[in-house]
Amino acid sequence: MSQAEINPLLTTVEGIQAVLRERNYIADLSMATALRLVMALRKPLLVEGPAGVGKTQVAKTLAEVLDTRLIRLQCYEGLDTAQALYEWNYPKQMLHIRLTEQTGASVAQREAQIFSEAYLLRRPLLEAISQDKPPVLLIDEIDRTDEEFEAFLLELLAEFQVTIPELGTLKATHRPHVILTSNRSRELSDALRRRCLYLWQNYPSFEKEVEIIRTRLPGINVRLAQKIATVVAHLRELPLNKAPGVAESLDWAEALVSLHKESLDMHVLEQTWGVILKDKDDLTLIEAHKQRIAELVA
Amino acid sequence: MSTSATPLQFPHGSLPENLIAFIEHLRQTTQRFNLGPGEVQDALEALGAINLGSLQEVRQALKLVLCSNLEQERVFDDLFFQFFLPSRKRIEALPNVYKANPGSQGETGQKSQPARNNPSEALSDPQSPLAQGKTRLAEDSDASNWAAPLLKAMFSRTAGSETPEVEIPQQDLDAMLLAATQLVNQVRLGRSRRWVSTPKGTRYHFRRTLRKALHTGGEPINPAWQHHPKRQPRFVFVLDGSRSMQSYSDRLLQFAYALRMRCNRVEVFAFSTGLKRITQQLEKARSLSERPRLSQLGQAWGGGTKIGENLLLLEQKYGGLLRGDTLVFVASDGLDTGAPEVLDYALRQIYHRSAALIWLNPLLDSEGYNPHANCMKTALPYLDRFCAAHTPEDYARLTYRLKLRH
Repeated sequence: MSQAEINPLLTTVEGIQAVLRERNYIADLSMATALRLVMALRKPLLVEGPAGVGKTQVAKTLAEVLDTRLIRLQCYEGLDTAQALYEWNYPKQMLHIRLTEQTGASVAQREAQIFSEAYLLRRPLLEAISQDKPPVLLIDEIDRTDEEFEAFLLELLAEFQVTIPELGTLKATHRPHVILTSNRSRELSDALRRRCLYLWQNYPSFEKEVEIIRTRLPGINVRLAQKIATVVAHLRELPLNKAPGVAESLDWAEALVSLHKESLDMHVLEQTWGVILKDKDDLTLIEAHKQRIAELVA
Repeated sequence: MSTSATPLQFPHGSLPENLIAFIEHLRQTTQRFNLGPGEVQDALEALGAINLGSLQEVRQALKLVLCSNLEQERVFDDLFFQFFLPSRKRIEALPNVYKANPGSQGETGQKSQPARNNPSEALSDPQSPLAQGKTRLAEDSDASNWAAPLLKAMFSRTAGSETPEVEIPQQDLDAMLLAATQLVNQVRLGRSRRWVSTPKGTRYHFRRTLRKALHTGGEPINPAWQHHPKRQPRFVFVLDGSRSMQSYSDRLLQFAYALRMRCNRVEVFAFSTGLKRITQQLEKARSLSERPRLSQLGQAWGGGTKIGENLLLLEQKYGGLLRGDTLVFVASDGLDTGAPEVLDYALRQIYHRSAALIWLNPLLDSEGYNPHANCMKTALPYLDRFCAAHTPEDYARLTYRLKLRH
């Protein structure tokens, strides 16, 4: 099924922006164009940017828009094919070997039986290329994996096929929409980058951040949303170890709404610093900038 | 960014021709746009999927297809307008992608506006305390024997002089290679979370065990094993090549060279007033064997000293190299008159991102020397080891019983 059949708006960049907005995701032109090309070219999209700017959220929203499954592979050091691609069901295979001991079948025959699809446990990557409807495959924080795993991904991302020694090469029934995210904690290889569309997602502008807060929390006071965006934008200019992202802005806004705070002052700020600053050194550093922040919230 | 002497002109006629000319234009820049026929095809398909009447959409689509990293992304808009609309100014001012990057060019191709309270950007503001700190004198001039290099460092903070080729000394190289091997072997990073096959291990390798069992009637008589391999360390070696380090840089360079020969996971940088990654040059020097030497070091050798700014640049431009398994060596005499705030910020970032931060200061063994200079005072809280190294034996002990943070 093409995007036009799902939703004719998905064939234009403005349409994608509108559809995402309906689902409370404010996409700028670059993100909307990126999603348009992901759907049109069926190439993976590599999104890099600081933590908490909505890289993961875009994949979730895209799955909602396309009304399809979101298959997520969370990357970490040591991730290998057994956790990402497939694994054989060893207890079931062992049981089968025992049960067929007396049948007189040759080793080759029994081997062919136990290494068949009935004994295969599908992990996210294999699952993503075996769907009837193209899913959204989110490969989250790819920079956390080892180089070996990154190299393994090349075949999947270029050809949308995987090779299982016992079964041969499995081609995708439908090409998934692939989104990879990275926080740039290490350099990714050129080979991987060349297989992807590339998008750098930075912190949003003041106006966009206010819009995001108001979209996610429709009941919030406009002035409060603006002050939150102002303070957060200022904090991002400071040399913090962990600068607050959009996720922190939203958490903070939600916390303030829950606490029935209609405006910001230094007392409220000190009560709620923990929602946006999550490092002890940062909390210490902020003490030196209290004066400026007080001016901002005044 | 630079283009060739014979730039291709726009317009060329058809859309594909223009696109090919633009891609050729990108290839000729210094950002190493590595674009082949596949990218040309993708770009054409991308243009077919968007509204060709919208300049912004065309720019964004081409950017998505033709850029593959942040450095390229940052200069793409300028290159796009330079090629397609040379007489037109940028239609929008996009925010800079780097939060802090001294001397970096914004997307408009001009120096980014200084942001208040941002250590690196504040440097460009002559009124800021950071910039004023540049002119501060160091405080540790008790001993006259190293006051001269300090003065030299202070008054030559502009560019490095013409840098001749720098030769890597061959004397005692074997001893230094041995020291590098010992240094690498002493690093204990614990074990990775990966599982690898091994004759003896801590976990059954079910797949292999099962395959072996097929030949013994399903009985796993010969189990296969897996274990977690040892984590291999990475090294980032940052060498101060300024004039005040001239007497010591040969030995330090030799050590960097030996370390690179003994371990592939080594990245080497040199800095003076500018920073340069010299890993590839060391690699080439290694293959030439006879008289290994480095050339074209530019502002990274033989000039003044900008420690804070260059370490900040390292952290921001090459931050991907700093990981939980990376040991960072900074080899410098610390004779810098730059703003300590910048150095403090840069070292804090490097400290948090690396497994250990080791500072090699060749003056440390000098009589009467105390690390009271602003630079060294700022650095000390972040250092896991602060020492001097002169002989191969000294270098071998740099990681001896070193406690790593990750």
